[in-house]
Amino acid sequence: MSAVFNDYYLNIAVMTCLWAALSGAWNLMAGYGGLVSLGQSAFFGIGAYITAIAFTKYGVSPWLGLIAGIFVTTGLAVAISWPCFRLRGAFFSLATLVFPIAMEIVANNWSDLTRGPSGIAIPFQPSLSTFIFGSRWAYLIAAFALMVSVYAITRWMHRGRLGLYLIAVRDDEATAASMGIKTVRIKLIVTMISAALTAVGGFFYAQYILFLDPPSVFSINISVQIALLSIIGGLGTPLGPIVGSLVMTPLDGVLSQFFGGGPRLLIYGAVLLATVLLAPKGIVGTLKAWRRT
Amino acid sequence: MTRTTARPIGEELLRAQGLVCRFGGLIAVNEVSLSVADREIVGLIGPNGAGKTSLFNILSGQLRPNSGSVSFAGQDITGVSASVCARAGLGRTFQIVKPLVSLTVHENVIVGALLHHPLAAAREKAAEIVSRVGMGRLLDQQASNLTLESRKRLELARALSIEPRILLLDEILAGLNASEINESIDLIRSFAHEDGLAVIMIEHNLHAVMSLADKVVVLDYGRKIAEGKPEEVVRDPAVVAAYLGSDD
Repeated sequence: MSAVFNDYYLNIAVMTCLWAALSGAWNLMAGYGGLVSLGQSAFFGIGAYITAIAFTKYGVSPWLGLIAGIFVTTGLAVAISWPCFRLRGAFFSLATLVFPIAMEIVANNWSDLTRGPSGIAIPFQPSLSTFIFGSRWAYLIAAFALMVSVYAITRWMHRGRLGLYLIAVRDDEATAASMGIKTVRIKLIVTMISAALTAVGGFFYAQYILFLDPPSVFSINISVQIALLSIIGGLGTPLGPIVGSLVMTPLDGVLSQFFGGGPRLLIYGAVLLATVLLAPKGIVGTLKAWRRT
Repeated sequence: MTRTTARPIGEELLRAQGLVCRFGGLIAVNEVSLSVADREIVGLIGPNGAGKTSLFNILSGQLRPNSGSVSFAGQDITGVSASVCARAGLGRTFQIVKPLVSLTVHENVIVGALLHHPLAAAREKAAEIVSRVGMGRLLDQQASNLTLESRKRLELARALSIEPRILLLDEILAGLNASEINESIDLIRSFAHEDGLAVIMIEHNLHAVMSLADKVVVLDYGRKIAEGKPEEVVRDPAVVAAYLGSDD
């Protein structure tokens, strides 16, 4: 009983770190560069699927799958986002929303490769070389490391050249260009970094849950969740996504333990609404503003 | 305040030839040619809607001309992007001020200084430029909190931050009071006389144009209707007619 109890809370801790990392990757694009992508679950799902397919179908090590996933996702991110960069604001978001939907359809129908709606079960072969572990503690350490890496990248970027250039592009593209910034290149760089980190999250998810089907990784809910955590925590701040995930992921876990679907979503929605109304700059942003006054 | 008429003007730096820019049926810039030398201050004047800002947008890469050419420091830069123009050495301000609102004054200028310097050096360079334009006190202010006057100065600081060879100043005196205008006039003069920059300034303030410009170019309905020394241009009947209307 106590082991089950323990596993339950460990799972919440793992997911908190994973969501914080995914949301942190999104924050680089959206929080700093103003590229409010709703296509992150496409990157997430592709990372997960490539790892799983390489491992189960071709017997390739998940680590190689991870590298392949990063390359494919990054390449696809360039191909996808380049045309979308012509669009501003909400139009960019809407355009990016199409890609996870398209990927879900592809994954459902390309059954030879993805096994379609029945999904892929990954055999439990615990070892470091397969990135499958018997203990959730190992996953927690890995997820924590991923979260810290994303944080470190954000921190490094924050008020450095890339961060300043991104904020410049977000604030005013004409001004940024008039100061010699190659705006499209800057947007591409951050999109590639964000997509690569999200693919790592997908790899982690596949080797942790050991089962994938199209809705579980390509669902738009995932894209929305990724965005929400940063918005709640504080857009464009290094700590925002972590704080957002620390508040919301355990809440969601605890709520689903004590309530069924309906009340759980109601309470989750109420907390979300309260944060957005009372702290429109997110938790971190609001605390910062408080401290200044 | 060194008003020298015999100041040596350098070699030709910027040359625009036969520039045309259409917006649908409207011809905003019509066969305009222009030449600016190193250390020269050119005043660009004309009634509202004459095509002055459109001409600036072509020179600085924001707009692509329908025909004509622009060469800068011996290179053809016709139709290249705004960032390439900036890298080549064209610094500009915007008439409708465009500060980077989520950054401080210092950071606004660092963004430009990063073009030629690593971060630490860019910080220093930016602080120098900020105090040069008289905003030293406001260094760590959020750009979104600035008054219009300070925003205009920040435009100037941003234009300088990329260490340009030519400054394109779009009505940076508009909305300033008399003493602020006099300070700005001295500042602009020092850019050309001390730093050796070329300057093209769009300006409605004729006092400023008369006291600063080596040469004045007048646009009306997209056409260049006069060019010459300030004293001559203001007496030109075509210019007077453009501003005040003619008898016929």
